[in-house]
Amino acid sequence: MSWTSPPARFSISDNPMRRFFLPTLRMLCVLTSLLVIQPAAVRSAEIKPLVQSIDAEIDRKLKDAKLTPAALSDDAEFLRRAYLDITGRIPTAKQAAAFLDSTEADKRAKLINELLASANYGEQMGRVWREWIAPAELPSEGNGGNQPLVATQNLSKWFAQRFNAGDGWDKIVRDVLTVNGTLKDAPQGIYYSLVGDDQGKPLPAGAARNISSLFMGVQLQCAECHNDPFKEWKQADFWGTAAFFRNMSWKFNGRYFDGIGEAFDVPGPDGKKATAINDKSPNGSITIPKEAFKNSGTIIPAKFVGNTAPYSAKEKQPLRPVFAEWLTAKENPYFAKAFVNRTWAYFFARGIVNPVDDMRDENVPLLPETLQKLTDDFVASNYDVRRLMRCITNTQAYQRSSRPSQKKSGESVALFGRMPVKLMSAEILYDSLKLAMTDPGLDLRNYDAKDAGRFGESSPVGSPYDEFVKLFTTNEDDATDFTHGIPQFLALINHPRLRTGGKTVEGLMKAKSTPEQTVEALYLSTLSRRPTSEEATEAQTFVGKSKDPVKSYNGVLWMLVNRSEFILVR
Amino acid sequence: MPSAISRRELFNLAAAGAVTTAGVPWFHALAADGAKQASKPKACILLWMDGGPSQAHTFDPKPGGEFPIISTAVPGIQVTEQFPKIAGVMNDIALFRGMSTTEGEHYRAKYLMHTGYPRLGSFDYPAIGCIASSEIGLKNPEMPNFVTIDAGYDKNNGGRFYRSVPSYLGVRHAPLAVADPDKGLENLGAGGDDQEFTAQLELLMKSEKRFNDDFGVSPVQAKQDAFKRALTLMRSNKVKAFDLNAEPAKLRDSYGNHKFGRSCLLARRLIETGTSFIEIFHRGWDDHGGAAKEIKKRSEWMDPAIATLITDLKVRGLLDNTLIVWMGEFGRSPVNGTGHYARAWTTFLAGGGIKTGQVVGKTDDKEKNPGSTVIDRPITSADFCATICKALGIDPAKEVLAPGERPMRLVDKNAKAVTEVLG
Repeated sequence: MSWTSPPARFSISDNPMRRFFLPTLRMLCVLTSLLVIQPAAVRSAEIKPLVQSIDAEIDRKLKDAKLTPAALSDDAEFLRRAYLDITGRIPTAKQAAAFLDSTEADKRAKLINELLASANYGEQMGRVWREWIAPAELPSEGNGGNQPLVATQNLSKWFAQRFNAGDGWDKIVRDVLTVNGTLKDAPQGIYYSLVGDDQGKPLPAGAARNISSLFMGVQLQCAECHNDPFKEWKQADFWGTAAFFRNMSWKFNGRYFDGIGEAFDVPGPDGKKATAINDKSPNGSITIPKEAFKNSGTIIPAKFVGNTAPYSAKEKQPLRPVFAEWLTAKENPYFAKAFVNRTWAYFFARGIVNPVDDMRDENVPLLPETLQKLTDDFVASNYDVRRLMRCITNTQAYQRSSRPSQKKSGESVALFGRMPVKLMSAEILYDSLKLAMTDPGLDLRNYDAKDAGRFGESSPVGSPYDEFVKLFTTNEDDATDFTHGIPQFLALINHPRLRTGGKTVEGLMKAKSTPEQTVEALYLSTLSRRPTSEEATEAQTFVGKSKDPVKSYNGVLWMLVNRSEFILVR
Repeated sequence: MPSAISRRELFNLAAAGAVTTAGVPWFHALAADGAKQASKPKACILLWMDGGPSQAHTFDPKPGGEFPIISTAVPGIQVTEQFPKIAGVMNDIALFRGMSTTEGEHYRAKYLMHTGYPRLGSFDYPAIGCIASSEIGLKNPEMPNFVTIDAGYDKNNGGRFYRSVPSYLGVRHAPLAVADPDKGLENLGAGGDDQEFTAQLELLMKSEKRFNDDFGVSPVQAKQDAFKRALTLMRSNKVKAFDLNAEPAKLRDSYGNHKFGRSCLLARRLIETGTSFIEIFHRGWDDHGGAAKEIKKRSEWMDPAIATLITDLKVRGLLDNTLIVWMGEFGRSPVNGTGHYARAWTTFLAGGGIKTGQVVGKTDDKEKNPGSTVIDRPITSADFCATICKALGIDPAKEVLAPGERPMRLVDKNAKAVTEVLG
């Protein structure tokens, strides 16, 4: 804050404003910032008991299973993993060097705090949640209609802003579920379209399926068409949930979903007539549609999962807010636990309960105490997402190496005694390649842009981002599943844009780096560490043989992005 | 130890007990000593006319229609005058004139015809090409078992493009897309100095070996394995399949120089290398302004290409093991072929060891709008998918685990395969 100098006629000593008010204000600002932006030491100290108890439970379980935990990761391993997991991209060479060279005792805790405070944190979590919400192929109108790519990207941006602002998870979810209005005013409204039918029309059943899996950690979907033969869920549970979403009304703008509301006389979100579900049963109930195998035509009352009593709804009462309130209430047995489990699974590629959305009594958690403590802490902190991630990433368990030890390595990973080796998701790979190659417009398509007839809705080829993400798609349910095959490697090995290196080497040459510095910078830009002496010698020998240094440094860069160590997250 | 065995594990154990002899490609079977002489696996070439080709202007003509009618090599079967060469090989073709499906919207219809299931929002069904890759494809192929080839377009219409997805069958069964049959497989050439590339590779391999010694867990090994397979393909003979100029000029001319003809030739060559499923798609058949003029133009390249493909495969002894499927997502309005029409339309199958030289299904011959309804043997999309599966030696009743650990049949259980053509 800068204070403009006072007009000439006033002197500071004369003006009571300036004598008392402003200094006081200044002091208040400093005090407030001290309170709000706690130093790392304070935050670490606060969560230390919880972090220690998590490690204690894991170590106990490992001991019972006669497994030795892996050693702690070295700085390079931890650095890259933390950047990738928390911010969705590799560090720059400069960022990597700064961490590696830091001699601060608590540098890991500090790094975690920095990463959680960065804008990329929100962006990464935003796209992770968008991936979990959106179907693999986005909905579109059957006769043409491009997919709602822009609206879906706006959803991740909306999540990103919420995560970066530090909104409680309960507030975020309430804002999604109770959204009303056009997408322009409320971008999160696309949620209902994405979990709706294949054309993007909202469906109570679609909402019930997605909400139960993502926000409650229970697999209700089998109970849509019949009582689940393997679990306790009945059609009454599934349709009882769906009933809260029966009053949705929506509008399309041409082929695109444009807004959502909740109405009874079918005025739309902007007051004009909109479409709604045509269900003649009274408010607070829903008719099982004919698509269900069993009991179509039966009227099911709205009820909360786990309760038996139906919810008694008034005639024109909006019910989405009722559901959202129940879901995000502190006593709700599903909401906080589901987020904790899913977040744990995000970092460890394995939940405390597996499958991640199958949380029920018979499915015993691997770490019952940890799950309970993290859940309680999450609720008590008002669903503070950063705090939960801070707890998880500060554990010894998260900071262990992923290097396999002598024997029983696989079993050790299963009990969180060793970190898994994960595959970079497509978006993370794309961002990391762009950074490593200094090529923000990285385009690995092989279509000539001049060939206009190839693009558009009926084209088999999409944008550079679309095509990259489709080519390098991974297994959403298992980050340790290496899914890439020949087409992916042909692209990584041979695509001209990756062989001629972007602008990274150019930049290093301009900065007049020595050969040693250049090789070091290339390693730091890709693998986030310095080369070993063996690696450095090999690279120098390789470069030394060539008459064209730029070309051969690009060869080194090509080699680095084709390394297992690049595309995997140790 | 973690809790009770999961449904997924149980399911996989059960499935493991019912392993059938998967495709050992015939040339490998011959080469391998003591290899069990499994029956030759089938392959499929799907010719996809995107946008919906008019049946009245192709293979279910009616008297008084917009095109004259000609006889074919099979007495009693007639087609439009535009397809004399296809008429000549009718003995190897089985026409399905009773296609009757429920979807008149492009994307939904394409989805329905490629998967046998109506599209849901909640998860995706695997496409027939991915099913073939998974069920009858090579287990460790040098190249993906499923290849799609873009045979061009004359109009950029036909609604949203359908892209085959393997969904719960696994990412490995996604198709390899060939954008241009003349350009072949993309990203193949290690463009530039071969010596330099070799040096780069050596540099890479040194580090990779060290990394594997240090970190040899399954994702690392899988990565290095896939990388090696890509390199192997770059240097292998399989890649030569993409060189269409290796074929004699006369044969190339028979297929024709339109992208579609070139795609058919490429498909034949890929079949010879063991590819299980090739989908050639041509866009532009959504003839809302009338089908006659457009189809007349297209027949000039379509007729010779398909007839040559059938004949060429036959001459090489490959036709019995190669099923050819010709179709779009639906047909068009009777008589003038303007609107979409799913109630009664036509596809055909050829080769594949099925009973050819016949017509299955029949549409009406009413004076007004003849061909509006199917009067004999209607075929749904599930029936159609089941027929293709059975012709290829795939069990349509086989179950795979869909999301939510839900067993999903490859084809809907109500499907009735067209037994009239199956052996």
